[in-house]
Amino acid sequence: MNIKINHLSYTYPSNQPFKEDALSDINASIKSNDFVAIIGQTGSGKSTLIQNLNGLLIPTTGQVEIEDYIIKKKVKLKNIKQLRKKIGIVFQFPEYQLFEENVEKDILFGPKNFGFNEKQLAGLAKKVLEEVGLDETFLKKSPFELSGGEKRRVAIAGILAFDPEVLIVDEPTAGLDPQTANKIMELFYNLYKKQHKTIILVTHQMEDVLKYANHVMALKNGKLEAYTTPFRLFNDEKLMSHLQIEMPLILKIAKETKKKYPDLDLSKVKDIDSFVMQLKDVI
Amino acid sequence: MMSNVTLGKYIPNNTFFHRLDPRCKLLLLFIFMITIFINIGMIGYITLGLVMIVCFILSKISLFTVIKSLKPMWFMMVFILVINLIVVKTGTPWHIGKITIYSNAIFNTLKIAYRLVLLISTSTIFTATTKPLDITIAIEDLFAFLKPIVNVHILSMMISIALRFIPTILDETNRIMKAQASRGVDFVHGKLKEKAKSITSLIIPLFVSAFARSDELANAMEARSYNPYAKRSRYRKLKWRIKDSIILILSIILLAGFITLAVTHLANNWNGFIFDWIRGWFK
Repeated sequence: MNIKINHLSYTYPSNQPFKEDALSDINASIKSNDFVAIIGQTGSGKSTLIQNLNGLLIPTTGQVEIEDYIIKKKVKLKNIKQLRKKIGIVFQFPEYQLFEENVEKDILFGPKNFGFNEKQLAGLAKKVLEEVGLDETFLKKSPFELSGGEKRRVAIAGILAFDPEVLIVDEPTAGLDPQTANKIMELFYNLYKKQHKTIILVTHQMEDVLKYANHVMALKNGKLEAYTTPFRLFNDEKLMSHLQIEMPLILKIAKETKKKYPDLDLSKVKDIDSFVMQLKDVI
Repeated sequence: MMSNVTLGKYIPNNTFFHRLDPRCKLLLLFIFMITIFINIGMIGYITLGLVMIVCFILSKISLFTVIKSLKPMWFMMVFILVINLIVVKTGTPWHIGKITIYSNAIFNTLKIAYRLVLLISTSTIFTATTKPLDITIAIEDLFAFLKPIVNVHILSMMISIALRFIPTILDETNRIMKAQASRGVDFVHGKLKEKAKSITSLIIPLFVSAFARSDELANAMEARSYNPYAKRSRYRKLKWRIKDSIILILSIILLAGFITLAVTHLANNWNGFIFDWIRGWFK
């Protein structure tokens, strides 16, 4: 599933005479099986952008092309349900969308809406629950008696259950403890690596951008300021100060280390483990 | 779709009406509502309509806002018209094809419609020119005489909190709708059973988060030692000016005039019910 964004602008409908674009003239394309991070400060248009990708919002001008689907103003989208089945969005704080009496029903809610048959549904809840790291004892529990982290995982399982080709996640680790956050990020990375899904990650965590993403989109005031690789972004100090982001700590350490060991390959430093590996090579 | 709600929205401005004391405006609202429900005859209604137009001009509310706030009325109007057409069998009969329509059915409906327009217009002027917080203070002040029986402060606090949460809950609704739409819920189309299901998927999370929010708010208030039974001083003080008194006296004179008009127009009995009821009072 290639996603093509052409001259996309979006303005929220309002009665105010003075309107400001939430997004203005975004051009980008996301290839199949890519891991893209979207960064930008609060209010920079990240969430608006992802909602334009599955027809929740329709671009004010410009269009989004996804295979045969063209999301454009005044053109009625045929079969919007199928589009949403292919592009799953995990919203910020997804635990607030749980409503069924038990976890199993809630996970199967999406697949049922998308017309999965009995055979496809059998064992599905258990399977996706295992993917997110919860065992089958959770199936019959009420979603409201779970802890915050468990709820979040159940909600993510509810999206994974209908097997979207593109998974868009909006700050999936916000408000979680580091351990759970790590597990959830690993989960998305595995979906990308093993199941070859396209992952679009909206995040404020520059460490995650460095570690997982292949490409990074940087938004500021509704404009796409950069669409590049994390390595290039973190080496462009002018751009970083313009976007008001900080370099991940591990990269800072690696840069300092490079002064002593000039052979160190910074482009391969993604996290602590890869840094240690690189360091072993040069020492 | 949620941002289109205009009924009951405060429109910031600095007009004559905005500067009036909220207590005065609340009293005016009562007076006008009483007047509207008295049968004041054709001349009375036209006068009242003119007064209302003057009020609109003074409060600088755009005609568009008024028309928009009248929108929810249409369904009710059609309903009343249908009932009237079936029930009312007086006046001149008109034959349209095989159906016979009586003139009074139409006139009655028009009369009710006119009253409703007046009613909604008055409340629109009131809410558009008065801050929600001021409304609650006004309520607290005006109902102070009830203090020995009920705790007026608790009531006004509840109202102000409820008003405060309307936009929050609308935002929340929007958010949950989008999340569920991403899971394949269609809020617009579908059979009745599917629709019921889609509404449940919205209502339950909405309630859960509303309860969670109120719990948090209650804790936050208690953490700041809020005690509804304690004697409280007030940060915001209302100031009653001479113009408030003048406007109030003028309105009372208008009301008295209309009541006299109604009583003297006993013979002109063109809407029995409320009128008979009022007449009963004077016997």
